[in-house]
Amino acid sequence: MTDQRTITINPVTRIEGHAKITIRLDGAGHVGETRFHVVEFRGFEKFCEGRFFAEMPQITARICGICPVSHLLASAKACDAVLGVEIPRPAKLLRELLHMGQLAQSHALSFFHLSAPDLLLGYDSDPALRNVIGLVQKHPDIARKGIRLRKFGQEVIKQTGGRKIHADFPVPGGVNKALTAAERDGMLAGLPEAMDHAKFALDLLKKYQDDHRQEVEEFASFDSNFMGLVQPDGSLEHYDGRLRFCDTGGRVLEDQIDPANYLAVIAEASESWSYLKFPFIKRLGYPHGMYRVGPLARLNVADKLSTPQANAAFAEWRAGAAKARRSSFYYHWARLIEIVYALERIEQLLNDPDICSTDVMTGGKPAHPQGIGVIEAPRGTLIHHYWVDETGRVEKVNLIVATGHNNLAMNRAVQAVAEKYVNASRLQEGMLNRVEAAIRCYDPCLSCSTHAIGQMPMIVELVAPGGEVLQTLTRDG
Amino acid sequence: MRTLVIGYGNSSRRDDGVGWFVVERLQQAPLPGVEFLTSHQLEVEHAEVISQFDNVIFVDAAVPQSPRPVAETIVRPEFQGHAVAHYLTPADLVSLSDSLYGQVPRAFLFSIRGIDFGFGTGLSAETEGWAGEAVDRIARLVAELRHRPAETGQVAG
Repeated sequence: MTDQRTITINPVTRIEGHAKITIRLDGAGHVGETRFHVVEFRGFEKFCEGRFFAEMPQITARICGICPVSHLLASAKACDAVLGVEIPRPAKLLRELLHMGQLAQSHALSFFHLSAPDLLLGYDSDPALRNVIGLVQKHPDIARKGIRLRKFGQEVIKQTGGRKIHADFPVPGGVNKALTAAERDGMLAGLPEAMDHAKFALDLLKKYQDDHRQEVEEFASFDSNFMGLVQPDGSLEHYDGRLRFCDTGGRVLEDQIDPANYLAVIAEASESWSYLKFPFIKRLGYPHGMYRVGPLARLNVADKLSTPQANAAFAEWRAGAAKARRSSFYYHWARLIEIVYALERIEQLLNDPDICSTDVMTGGKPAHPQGIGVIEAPRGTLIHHYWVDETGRVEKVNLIVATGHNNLAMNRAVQAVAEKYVNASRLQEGMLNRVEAAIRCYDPCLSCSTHAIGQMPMIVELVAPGGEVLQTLTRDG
Repeated sequence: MRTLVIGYGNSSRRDDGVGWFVVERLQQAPLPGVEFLTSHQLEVEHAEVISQFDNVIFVDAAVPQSPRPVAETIVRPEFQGHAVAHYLTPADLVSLSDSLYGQVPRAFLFSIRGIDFGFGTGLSAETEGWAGEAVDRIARLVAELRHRPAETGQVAG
């Protein structure tokens, strides 16, 4: 039997929920099989059954404290579909405004407070200081800019939706609050400073990439497909649009798929060692149909961006590279380009003549037995699918969140980085931090992603230092 | 002297929402100079908020195995680099307030034992009882802080 040792990093720091990474080493200290386990257990899909469909936005927003806006919007869109209504244009503008605020604040948190310590302080720096406090001590200005940028995004959410967390603003059929001119003007006044901070971050990252070109290009780099929403002309889209799939070379596999038909193209597998489901592209099979979602995937599937400054940044993204970028590190770059896009889009939306209209709601009764709402959340494509009876009572729910879509990819990322950096004969903390950093590229939100109940078997394996399996505990779902 | 009470947790996971419950109860009492905030979790921008107060009282749920039903502790600035996710702890937040804004409010944490963290919005009977005790103790603490010089800033656990 091959001699094996297991290195366990538990918990993964600076990501939401609970997770465990296991790296199995052979007797020679080489990396064998690696796994990214998700051990958090939530039960929202089951919990929602029997509730009135119109309650779903508020219920599902409680899945997560960091991206409730994304759940609110996807859920409201699914409810619109149950009603069979087209919401008024001003309501659509306001929902997108809320969404862009969420995108800006979420990406700012990810970059400035979760990932910047690795980049600016160094993967091998003192772990006690490799965090936002260490960042404040060494680069106080950068940390404050991050806070200010995030605060602007939160203010957009608050002004648009009434409060920063769990705004009850998107409702089936529209939104429940019109925007006042004073609220609009307040947001417009904050935009220039926010844009300065976003561009500062973009320049900072580009300099890092220039200084660490090879590491960046090779960091958790692997072949995969990509998925994201695009507009009919192929532009980047976050609120509406249709699904596009590209392969690792950027070639379009599927295009303009109605999100309501997602089940025709996506299937989900489960594994005994993780609560997270493993979605894959149906026609490519499991696991070859692995795809990535989120900022990297969105820029890889898009042909262009519809705002000028972000599109200029996108041109740099595409320049000198294959159409699809493969390194997981580029999630950071894509995230910052998307902040610029979000801020420009906020300005466009606020200057739309309909933005302060009070025509923000349309009524209706449940008209369809199913409703599907799909948006691009900060971390990637978010799917809410509800089945209801004739009274509007929810019979079944399926939620696929960004972290779920990226599940296979995160496992591949861990494998790639572990193989490159982990050497058991002289194991150092920085090696393991790089493995964690690969996961942080995806900014996973595990409290969102592990909401299923009753379907996932769980296996607990006891492994001796020599690799012998001493005991296996299996619990069926 | 300004005091902020922050109740946080997931109000859709029954006893995890005890912080929200305590804040709602305290808002019904006459507590001059006290402001309130509820949140799903503590986040980085709350550092700026707490930096503007002399006293901050955090109210959160504790696991069923917690040694005391209502535990009151002093929060000191201490950033847990290994434990940071998208949320922060009270000690993280006070540390950030210090590092970013040079302000360290007197901070206290009331941890109230939870029994039921399943899906739902009501508290278990036990936790609701302990929440009532916490409300009384927080009200007394707020009154006491009003007369306590800022530099002494300590209470018994």
